[in-house]
Amino acid sequence: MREYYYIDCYGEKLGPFNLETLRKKGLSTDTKVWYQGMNDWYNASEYIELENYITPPIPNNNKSSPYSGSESVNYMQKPDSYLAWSIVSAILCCLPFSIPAIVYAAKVDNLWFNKNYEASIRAAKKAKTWTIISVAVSIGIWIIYLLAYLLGIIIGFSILNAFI
Amino acid sequence: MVVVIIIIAGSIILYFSDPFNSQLSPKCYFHYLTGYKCVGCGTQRALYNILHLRIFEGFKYNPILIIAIPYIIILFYTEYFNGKYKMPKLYRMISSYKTIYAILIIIFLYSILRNIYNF
Repeated sequence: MREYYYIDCYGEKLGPFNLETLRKKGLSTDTKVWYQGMNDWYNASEYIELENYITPPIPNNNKSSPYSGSESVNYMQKPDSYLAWSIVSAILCCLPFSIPAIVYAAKVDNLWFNKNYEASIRAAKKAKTWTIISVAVSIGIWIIYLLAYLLGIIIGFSILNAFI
Repeated sequence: MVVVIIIIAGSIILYFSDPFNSQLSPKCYFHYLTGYKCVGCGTQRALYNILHLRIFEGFKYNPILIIAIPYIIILFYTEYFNGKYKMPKLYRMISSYKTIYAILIIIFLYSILRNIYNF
């Protein structure tokens, strides 16, 4: 069992705790957390296993809070980067347009762990859009191909009929 | 759940649609327009063969699948099946900036090389 330590808001090191206990401690995103094997203390927001168990930091005064309204509600949940889907679409069918999807998907996690939450969410949305575009273009071209193929059959038959 | 349905439905459709003889199965438009092969070319034939348990023959059509299939399985596992909570280190490694750019470079190199050496 991995044993975690954290530094509370008074600068005191607490622990060890197992994951279940740690999750109930009401950590905030900027609480420093460490376990044996980590080479430094990292913010709680960087531990994926703590996702959904941490709360936004308490602002020093209300005016300086950069997050407001709907932003603060979903800002703890790291957005789905659509990386899996963009790579599947690149390999299955839709290469040219899935390249931007992969590039945006790459940015999501990086921005998130640098606490650039809004930019991360924007990158995730773009990755999603490009994945959908790439698949839609492929399906569109396939449908055009099928129509052209049917048209070819019809024209072929009518020419054949004209000669017979 | 949706992911599982899509994967199973896709496999069933592919199992019964022979890409070698069917004129109707989707063609690679990149190959059709430019004459060059992309990374995806051959995937359909490869997966068709693999689904019919001709594994080795399958990989000949698109060798990059040897790397891609395990990678994609891990991606789906970590993103949608709780893998990111059970294996946070693996998740972070696999979805890091560097890994993804390495994959893009592999995709580009692979596309260039397969057109030069024609595999």
